[in-house]
Amino acid sequence: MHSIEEQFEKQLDQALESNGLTPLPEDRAALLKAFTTGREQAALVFSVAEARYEEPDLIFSASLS
Amino acid sequence: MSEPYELTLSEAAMAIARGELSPVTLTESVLSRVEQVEPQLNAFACVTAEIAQTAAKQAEQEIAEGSYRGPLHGIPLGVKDLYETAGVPTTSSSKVRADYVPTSDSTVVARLLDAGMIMIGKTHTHEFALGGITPTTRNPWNTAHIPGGSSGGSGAAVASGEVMVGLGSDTGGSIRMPAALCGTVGLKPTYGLVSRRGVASLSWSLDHVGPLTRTVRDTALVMDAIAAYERADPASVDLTGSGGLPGYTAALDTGAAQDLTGITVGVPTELFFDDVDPEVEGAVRAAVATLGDLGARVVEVSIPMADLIPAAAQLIVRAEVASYHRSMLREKGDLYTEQVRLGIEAGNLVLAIDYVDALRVRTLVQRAWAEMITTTGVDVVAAPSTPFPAPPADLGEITWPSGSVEKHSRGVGRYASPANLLGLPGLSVPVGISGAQSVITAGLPIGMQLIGRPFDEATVLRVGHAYEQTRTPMLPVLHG
Repeated sequence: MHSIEEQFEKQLDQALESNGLTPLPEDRAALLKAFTTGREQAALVFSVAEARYEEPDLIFSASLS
Repeated sequence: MSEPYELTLSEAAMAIARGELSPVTLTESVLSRVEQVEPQLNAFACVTAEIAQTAAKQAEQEIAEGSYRGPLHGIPLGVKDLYETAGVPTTSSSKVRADYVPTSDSTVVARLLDAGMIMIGKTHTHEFALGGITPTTRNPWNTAHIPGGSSGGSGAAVASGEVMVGLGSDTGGSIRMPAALCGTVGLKPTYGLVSRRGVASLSWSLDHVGPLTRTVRDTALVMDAIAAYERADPASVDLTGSGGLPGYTAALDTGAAQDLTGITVGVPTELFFDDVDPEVEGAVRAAVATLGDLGARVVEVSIPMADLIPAAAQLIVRAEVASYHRSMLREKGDLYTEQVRLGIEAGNLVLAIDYVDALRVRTLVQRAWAEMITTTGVDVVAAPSTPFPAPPADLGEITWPSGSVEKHSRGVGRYASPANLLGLPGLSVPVGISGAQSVITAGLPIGMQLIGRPFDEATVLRVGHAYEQTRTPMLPVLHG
């Protein structure tokens, strides 16, 4: 069982590899922080979106504004 | 008479129309002001003095011949360096585009030049608008502090009298933040009201363009010139079928300027007063009370899905900014500043499903906000533009009484995202100067944000204008 931090690091490595990115060691820490924040934001957003998956009209449209 | 550069747009326009002020005299006055204060502010990426002088002579001649184009004729303009300008470098304040010279003007610039405005130069932005600091530029109220961003050059230039109008763009507060921090007015119009053609993008579905000025009336005058449908911007909305565009300046002159009877002002109970500088909260609540004194009904409103708004907005920005810069980053990655490059690279790591979920949640928030407006009858939501006044240029962090610790660079934009995510009009108006209780320091401007209904800029401007009439305009003490 991996900690959540270790899972994020593993996911980051996968994402970097799939994007063809090889960051410098000093950049990796900043990217991990941004990636972790992004995963937390995504979890928050998903917590709402997952309950509404049957609604096809939720894609944002400027005409609604 | 004041020095010409000290006039507001409206005052200068009246003087020009009456033949009391020549565009050439006005242009020379602001160019002298630029020479005087630029060593301290560095608001401009480039100053186009020769172009301005030639245009001013042309304006003077046209007016003398009876071809007066209207209230923008002969008025000095600063253009954020994201806006394309024919024959003038448009660098986005980045080495990546250091050599880029467009062959045509962006739509907004073209409309303003057609109205007779005089371009004084290109104003600095945070590199590619990806930040709220504008590290090149300083705040005219205290040059040890930042002007905010990303339209920081325009904010500093308008506040210090280098121009009377500065163009900005706003994806996460980049018009309203520098307006608040520099003590100017700034309007982020409704998504789709003003064309973005020819303006470098940060995030297509959140980008807006608009003006910074010294007064609300000045903003209305600019909006009368730039609000228009344009097919070339896919977000642009044609309002012909719904009655067309209102006259924004005319709306200010309808009825008594200071009577807000019939207007409902909502004061948020979430998000906008969390971890806020006591001087900012005090000034904004006092300004809201003034709106009540002017006849507005003031009610508390609950911001729907408040915790989701910043999260959804940031996921969208990150994904879209990475898409926009994808090839440039590959080809010229080493030319970006480190902070901006890392911000873009972080966007490469946003999953597609998260981006889609963020778009779907955006629609849910939009529906909830619409319901809040319907049930409360709110015309404008009034809140701080920023949680604190302009931070020091060496930046730092704040430990709030709640215990949370926040970097200046992140916190400054904390109240901006609702208007961007939902595409609503947001106007920042100056409401005070910080005092001794500030978490930053005393003597810095404070802005109040008025968020309106979609395409109802007329009401937002009317409320801001009514408030503005109760105050003496604030100008920074800045001597070159």
